[in-house]
Amino acid sequence: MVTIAFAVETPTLEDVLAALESAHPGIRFRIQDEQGRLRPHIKVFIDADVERNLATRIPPGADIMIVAALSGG
Amino acid sequence: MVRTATKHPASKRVDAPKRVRLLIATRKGLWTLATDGARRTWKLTGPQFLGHVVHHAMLDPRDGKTLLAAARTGHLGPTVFRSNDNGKTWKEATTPPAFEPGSGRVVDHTFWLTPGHASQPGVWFAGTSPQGLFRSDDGGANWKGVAGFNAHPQRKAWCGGDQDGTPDGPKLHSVLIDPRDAAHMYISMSSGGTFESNDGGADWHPLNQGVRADFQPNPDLEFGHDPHCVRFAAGNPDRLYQQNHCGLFRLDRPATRWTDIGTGMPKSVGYVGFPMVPHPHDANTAWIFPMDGTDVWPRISPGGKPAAYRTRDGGKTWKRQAEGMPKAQAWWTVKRQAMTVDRFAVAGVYFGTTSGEVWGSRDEGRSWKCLAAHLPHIYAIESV
Repeated sequence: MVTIAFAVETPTLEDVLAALESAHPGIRFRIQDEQGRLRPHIKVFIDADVERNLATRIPPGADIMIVAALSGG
Repeated sequence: MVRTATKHPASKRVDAPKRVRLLIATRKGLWTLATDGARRTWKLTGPQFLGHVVHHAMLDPRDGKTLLAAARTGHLGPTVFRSNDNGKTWKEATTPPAFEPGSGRVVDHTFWLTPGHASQPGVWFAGTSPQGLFRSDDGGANWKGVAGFNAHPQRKAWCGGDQDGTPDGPKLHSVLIDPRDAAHMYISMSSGGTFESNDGGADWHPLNQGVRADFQPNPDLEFGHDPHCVRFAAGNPDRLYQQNHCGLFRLDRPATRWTDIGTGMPKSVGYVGFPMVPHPHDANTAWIFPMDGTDVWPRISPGGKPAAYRTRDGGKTWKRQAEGMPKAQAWWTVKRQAMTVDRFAVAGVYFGTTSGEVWGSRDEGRSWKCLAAHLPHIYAIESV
């Protein structure tokens, strides 16, 4: 669980990832590639709903889960 | 450009190394095999980075203690790990190789690591899949694209699309730095061909005359070839050996046309393979490890009978070397970075297989022993 404070009430998912990178340098490149796209098999949930649009605004009080859906042999 | 040849090291006395260490990069992590100067008993240690795909691990010969490992961690993207204490502890690169934002290109994995010129401590080069060239000036902590290649107006024409190339993705490999001139470099690409720079990577030109490209409608192309592995001959950076998708070739600079050196291979074996390994001290000697490139390209030892082949005359003739290897029903092969030599006067030769075995010879390939088994699919072996 990570707590991050934002100046706006409903930050975008992009804002959240940027803030996460500030708190933990390097983590964003594990989640997004250099073109800003979520990496394959990385799933972001806002509450229970999967979300791939980084412009989506996060409602107050929402839980965000970032999950690496590991697969392969 | 003519460069002064270096003195041939074979004319000097070769001091026997006190130990040999093999860095074994695999599909599931990094292992190390080590021995003393007798090269009779080996100790396997590892894994490090268990579960990471490690494409290459390399020692910095300039300080003898910095190691870099190119890793791809499942779905968490590509990165480079660095050790400043010979592999005891590791730190991840702060800025791993990545294409410019807005370029639309994404590094799938770093495939090849080359320490820079002796006069440029801390400089490293990395080749990626898809084809990209990257440089670090701080020992692998931060990487930047070499714009002279990555943004070259001809790059796309040279390489084709990012979806073209080998089954594991198109690759930039065989980054060679001329030991006489830090600005003189070669790179090779599957696919794309071999390219040369005379200005430290600011500009590049193709160097593929004489190399076959049987898979193209025009067999005499300027670029678009598929070199699998290109290496300097021992002590002579004016000589390059190449194992190509379509044969074996040698280039003696300043000539720009490669010579076909595959005609001496038996027709039943052919001249397809991945690695090309020059002798550490003799510019006329090199090893290859042929694979089956017929029919649908099974990429296994021809007939299930693995063997290395060695030339002692610059590629005119090749001798089969299989003593100690399985005589039948062995369906593995050796990837392009997975064969190497040590620095002994009578060179040790080592290779790792797609079935996770490490084989070694302490008599220049006359006889072979299995040094380790049951490892994951081996991508690269470096002797350090």
